[in-house]
Amino acid sequence: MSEPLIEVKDLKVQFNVRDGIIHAVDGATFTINRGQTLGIIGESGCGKSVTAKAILRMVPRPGKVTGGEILYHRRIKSNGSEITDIVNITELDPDGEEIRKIRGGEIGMIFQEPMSSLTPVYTAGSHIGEAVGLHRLVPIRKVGAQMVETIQAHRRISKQEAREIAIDMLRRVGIPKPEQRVDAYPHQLSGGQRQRVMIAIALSCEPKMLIADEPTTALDVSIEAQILDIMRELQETVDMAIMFITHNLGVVAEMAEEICVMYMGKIVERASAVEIFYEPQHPYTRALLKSIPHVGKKSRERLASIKGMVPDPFNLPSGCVFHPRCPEYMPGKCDRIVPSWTQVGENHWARCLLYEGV
Amino acid sequence: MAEQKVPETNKKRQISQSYWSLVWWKFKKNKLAIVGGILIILFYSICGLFAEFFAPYTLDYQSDYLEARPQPVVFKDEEGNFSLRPAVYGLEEKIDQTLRKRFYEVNRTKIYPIYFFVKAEPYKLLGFIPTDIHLFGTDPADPEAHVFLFGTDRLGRDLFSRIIYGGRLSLLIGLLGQILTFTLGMVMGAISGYYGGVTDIIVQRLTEFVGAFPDIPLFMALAAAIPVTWSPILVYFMLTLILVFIRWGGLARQVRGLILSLREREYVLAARSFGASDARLMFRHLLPGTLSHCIVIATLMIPGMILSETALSWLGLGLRPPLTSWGVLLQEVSSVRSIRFAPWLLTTVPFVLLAVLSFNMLGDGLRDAMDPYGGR
Repeated sequence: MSEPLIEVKDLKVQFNVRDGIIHAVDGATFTINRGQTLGIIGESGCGKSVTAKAILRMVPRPGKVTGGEILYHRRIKSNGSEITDIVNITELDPDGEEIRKIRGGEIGMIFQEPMSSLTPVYTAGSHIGEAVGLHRLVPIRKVGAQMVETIQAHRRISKQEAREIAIDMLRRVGIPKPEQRVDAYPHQLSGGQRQRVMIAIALSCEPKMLIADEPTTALDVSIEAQILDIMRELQETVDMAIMFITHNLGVVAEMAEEICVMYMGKIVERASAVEIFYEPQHPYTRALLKSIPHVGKKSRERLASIKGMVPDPFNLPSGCVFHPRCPEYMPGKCDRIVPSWTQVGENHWARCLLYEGV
Repeated sequence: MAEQKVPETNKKRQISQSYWSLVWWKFKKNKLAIVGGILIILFYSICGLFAEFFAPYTLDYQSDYLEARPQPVVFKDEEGNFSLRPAVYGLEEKIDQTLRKRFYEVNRTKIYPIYFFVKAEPYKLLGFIPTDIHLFGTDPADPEAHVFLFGTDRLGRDLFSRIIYGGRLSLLIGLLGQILTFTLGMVMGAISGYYGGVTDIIVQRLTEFVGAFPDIPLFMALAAAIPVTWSPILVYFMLTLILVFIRWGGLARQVRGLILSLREREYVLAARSFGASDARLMFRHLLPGTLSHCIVIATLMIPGMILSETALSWLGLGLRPPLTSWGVLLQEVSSVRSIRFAPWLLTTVPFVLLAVLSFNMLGDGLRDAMDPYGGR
């Protein structure tokens, strides 16, 4: 069960811009096991999406993976028995054949903006087909095509087969009248439907892992709930790991088994979802949890917020990067010593000097 | 109160209108564009595909009437009475004593009726169907009879036939050249815009370099480089390639601009995350987005292509006899003498104008129809 699928070790991503270097991801370490859901939460700009893109080697320029490794435990069938081959994704050519096989075929990704993630000139079906075709599975260019496209991209399959797969996938993600919708162009679909199509594309090649980068941020709550349900259902049927990126704590509580909290490119706390919510250890995590409004709890108190601003990425604070905003700031310590990754409980890690006994 | 009913067919159509059906719907309302489109279809079918059928004479048929004026068409039979069958008056050779020049006068006593679907010179329709039927002509049994609707040239060749044949080369150079320009421009533009960086700089400087050359001298140099020994067909294709080489840059720059804006869209990222290769992203996800724009540009560029050929041939840099194009026909009228004594040889000009205008009308119509933001 707890067999690792992706191991990220000390991942560093830097953006070399004119004003200096931004450490978008600074030493992220985590593991995603097969079939497990890992939630990654944090404020905007803390490096969540960059981490996800680094796994697919899609960090936008001028970003660069400058250190660490991403180990992908790939299962290969050889002579009837399954062996696990470990691929270091950071060493692959970002435009090469190898990474393109992994993208979509073995690790799927869905994006925040369902409105613009489908190529406007293709139908849902052709998109799915393309993916399947690309990965020698099968093809889909309407929203069906967009889907056929993904399928085509990953298996060698006839147009007809691809279309059937596209229809089937659309049905699985709960799109009504999939036989007609497969020929719909993106502009003919609603936001929720488009995100379903995206999910269908991502799942059409039965990836081992799905990276969901704020998949429901652009949708309203009722659609959000449906999409989350669909993802969970499908996860159970195909035993797929999910890396769920969000800044919505409610959503992550519902989806994830394990949660990483990121702040300024660093993972500051990692624990099971239950522990994160009931026994948060890092002051940042606590502050985040406090800033959620509670329904039904009327009070004259203002909603708690984290004081201060996110620091300037070119001019990071010394010591612990969170110290200027930390309610438990220890003068003389927090601004001098960089905290290390400390175990604070069973399977519970945090990066805070409170637990280092200094 | 009258009951308002939506007709059944309309209801069905409302369910889903594809982009192209919307374009067609809007295009239909532009009468000028429709006229332009029909004219272009006529031009290409008459001159391009079925020139042999529409022309009463073959390209190199030489009559005994040199520089004969156009014969007026009348509706009279041989006795001079009204008849529905059109006919032409015969021509009579005269000598102008002061100029010491031979000229023709219309002889109203001779009338040659025009017959439709007559059997005349044999030819191969579309290059492979042997036949000898022409759209119109004079009585094949009467060797005296002749019909020169637009007169003849210095060698006694029927101008009407030659304009039709000439249109074939002129119009095809426009179409063929434009297809090549379109392909080259799209591919170069896509590569330039998609990869950016050094690739972009190289391609863009290349387009600027080619574009900065003065056209005519560059043409002269390139045309002079075509070996004289080459067959006329090869020369024709070389000329097309030269035109393409000079003109692909503009389209490439436009495509580049569009690709630059499109490549930042989320769907490119999404397609990449499904494992699409660069080529796939460029040609299947990005280029289709520029297509409607490019079709319009390409249509509006065809007249330029046709005019370039005409201009170059007129200057003697393009096609040369025995190839016959509109430019070559016009070159034959490039002396004052021709204009003074055989002004009918200028009949080619309205055809060039009409072809160019048709393309412009069609292009304008397409532009309006394909622009999703164009209100009205």
